[in-house]
Amino acid sequence: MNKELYQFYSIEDFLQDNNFIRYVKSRAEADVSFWELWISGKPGNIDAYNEAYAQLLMIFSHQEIPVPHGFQAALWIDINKSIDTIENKRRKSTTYLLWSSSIAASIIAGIFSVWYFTGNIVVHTDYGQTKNLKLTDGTEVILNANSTLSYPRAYAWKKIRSMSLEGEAYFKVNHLNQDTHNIKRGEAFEAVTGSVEVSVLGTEFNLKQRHGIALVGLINGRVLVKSIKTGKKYVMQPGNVIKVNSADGKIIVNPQGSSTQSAWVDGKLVINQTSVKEIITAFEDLYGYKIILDNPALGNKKIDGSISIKSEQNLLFTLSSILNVDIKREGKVIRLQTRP
Amino acid sequence: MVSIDDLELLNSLRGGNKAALDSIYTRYFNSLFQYGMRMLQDEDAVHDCMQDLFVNLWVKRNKLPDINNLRNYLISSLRNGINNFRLSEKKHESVQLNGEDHFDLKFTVESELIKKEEHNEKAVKLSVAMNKLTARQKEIIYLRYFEEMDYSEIAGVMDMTIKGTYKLSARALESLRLIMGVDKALVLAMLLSLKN
Repeated sequence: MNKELYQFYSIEDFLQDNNFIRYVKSRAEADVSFWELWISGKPGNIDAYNEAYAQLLMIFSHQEIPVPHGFQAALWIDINKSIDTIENKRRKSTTYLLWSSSIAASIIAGIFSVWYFTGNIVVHTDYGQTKNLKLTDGTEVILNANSTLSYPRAYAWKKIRSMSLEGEAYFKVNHLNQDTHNIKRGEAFEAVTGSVEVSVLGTEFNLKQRHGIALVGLINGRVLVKSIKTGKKYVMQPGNVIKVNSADGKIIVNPQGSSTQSAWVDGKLVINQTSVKEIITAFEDLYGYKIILDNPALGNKKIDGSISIKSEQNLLFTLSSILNVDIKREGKVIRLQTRP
Repeated sequence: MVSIDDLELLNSLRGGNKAALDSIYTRYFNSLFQYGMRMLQDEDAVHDCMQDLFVNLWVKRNKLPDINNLRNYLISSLRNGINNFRLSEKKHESVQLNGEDHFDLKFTVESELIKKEEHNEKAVKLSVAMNKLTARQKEIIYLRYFEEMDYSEIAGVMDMTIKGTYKLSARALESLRLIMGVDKALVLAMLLSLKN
């Protein structure tokens, strides 16, 4: 800031000066003391300064418009819904182009009604990406990276609200049932993976299906888990974690090293006697890398604690310092080399 | 002023990265919401216009023009969307409420700072005069002082020629002078401040 120059300023000069504007707008300490000092020098153009100051104060008297609660999140969900709809239509329309237009019209009408009543909505997340979905019945689903969720377009109209999942998601199922002895149409909810069916009325739970293994973590309420292979059922209590392997279909309750399944929703991985191998697999699933341990024995090391998984750098950094290894990236392959 | 981040975000968006859209949304949500609400004073309408803006940004990501300032591009696109929305509303409405569009920018002498520093009538007079500015004049002031755009950026966003903006300034000058009955130089000062 040029103190010498300011004494020649007119009102309009002040009103255009970004330093002056910033001073009136935010009154940062450094700016305030600068201008107080400048005024104390009794500049000849103090009237111009005062006038410009008054006008700017008036302009900045206007307050920000408060954002209504939930507006930003709801708008983001609507944007995504609208994009998904357009992209689904586009995929369809490329196939329609194969038909001549006159026949196409009737066929499209046919396909459309089939599509609407029997079609599925498929939501997919890429590596490193999560999505929040809010369904018409109030149920919310947070889809973790590299996961696919599909459900009928007419989801809320079905007898059982049913979704199938490959990957990992956190479900907040809206409770519609008032009378447990009389469950009406659309009140029951189920989430299905390759290994399990999880049936609920209204609850919060985390479901993960990767590499042929399902993990269910119950947060609130009660759910019934059914092993698809054996048909065996288990009623979970909050805090329970259940592991089902699709190869033998066996239900294992509270397996070792499987605490707090839902911590990823808050961007954390909470581990409890979890092997390095498992953490590496989780990282590969979420971010799409292949990780090679130079010393495979390290993979069996068990660790406890909480790791931030908000970014791949975070997770890699933590891992490298726990294992005392160097990170070497070669494209999509990451090598963890034991430090000499 | 072009921040590297914005350019990276745009390139990433063009490359089909949805996370880039999310970042752009988070970064400019408040700017766009504030501007939209001032133009429309209707949450639902702002919701719809902003939704169209971001859906189009994604769907037409391969056909985007060269953008050297992302925020100005977004504000300008939102403004176009709002104008189209207003046109379609007017078509459907049999009764027109009032012909002129509104820009919500209210000045008040009630703010703590002014109370502390300006007790005089002049502050009241000034607020009265400034509140009587037309929608476009208020919009210019808003973009200049709240979004901190310079004169040529404002002309770009408002889709006006520099000449047109001068004319607007000249008219505003005259009306302010009449309202306030004050020295022309003082009013000039306020309006010239819009010039770069």
